[in-house]
Amino acid sequence: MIYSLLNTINRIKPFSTADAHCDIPCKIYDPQIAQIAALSVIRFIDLIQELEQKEQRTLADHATLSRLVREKEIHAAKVKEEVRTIWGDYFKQPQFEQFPDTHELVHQIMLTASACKQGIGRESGEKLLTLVNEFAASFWQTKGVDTYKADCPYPPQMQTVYPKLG
Amino acid sequence: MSPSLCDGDFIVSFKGRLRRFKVDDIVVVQHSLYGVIVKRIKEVYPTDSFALIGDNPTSTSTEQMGTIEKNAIIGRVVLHIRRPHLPARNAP
Repeated sequence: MIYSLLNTINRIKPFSTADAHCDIPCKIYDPQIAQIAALSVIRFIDLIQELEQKEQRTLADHATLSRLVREKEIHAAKVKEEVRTIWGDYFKQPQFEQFPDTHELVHQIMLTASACKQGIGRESGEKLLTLVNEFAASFWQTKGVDTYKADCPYPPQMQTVYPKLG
Repeated sequence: MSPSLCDGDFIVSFKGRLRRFKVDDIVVVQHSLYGVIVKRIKEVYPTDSFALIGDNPTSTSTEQMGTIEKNAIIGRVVLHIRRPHLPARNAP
């Protein structure tokens, strides 16, 4: 009852916050790690598809396939970890008020990254990048930093959101 | 500060002019490195400075937080309203 009342007041006019956890509040957050990981997922999917085109696969190809699948899953998991950290540690009430759909967006990123781990469909990788780009654009906007879109200058050369710095 | 204080709890802190802080007080501190933090007083030095400690074993250590001057203490926690427990949910 008292908690609900305070919570309502806090939503209208936020109280000061004090940290009690063990994390060092380093305030270093950047969605580029998640974006690069998402691009990597697409790249690994492409390389896996290239192997599929081969008529005959050697033992070395099988070894490469193992590595590609492993790395694809590691990078999809990295997307989840990086986005979760920014969502959980950086985003607070003012940012959620600015972007009220953030919870839904982050949840979609979690689901899509899992789909990327489970399969090799390029559309999953592309969707993941689109969502992470949207998350990155929101993040930079909360910091008052404009963004632009450009093809990343390396494979898979996909549209990526970059901050306009300097 | 878990389990004494948990994420989302509300606390009220107060700093009286005359009151002296003592060991085991939970205080809100403006820390030069860690920002506004809430920790427990571990030790009171004769120079009216303090050592802090977190209740959780994985808390930032006393050494990392360093010696805290009295003017860095925003107030002693005098009221604590715990966040109601949410029902446990199974991981997908």
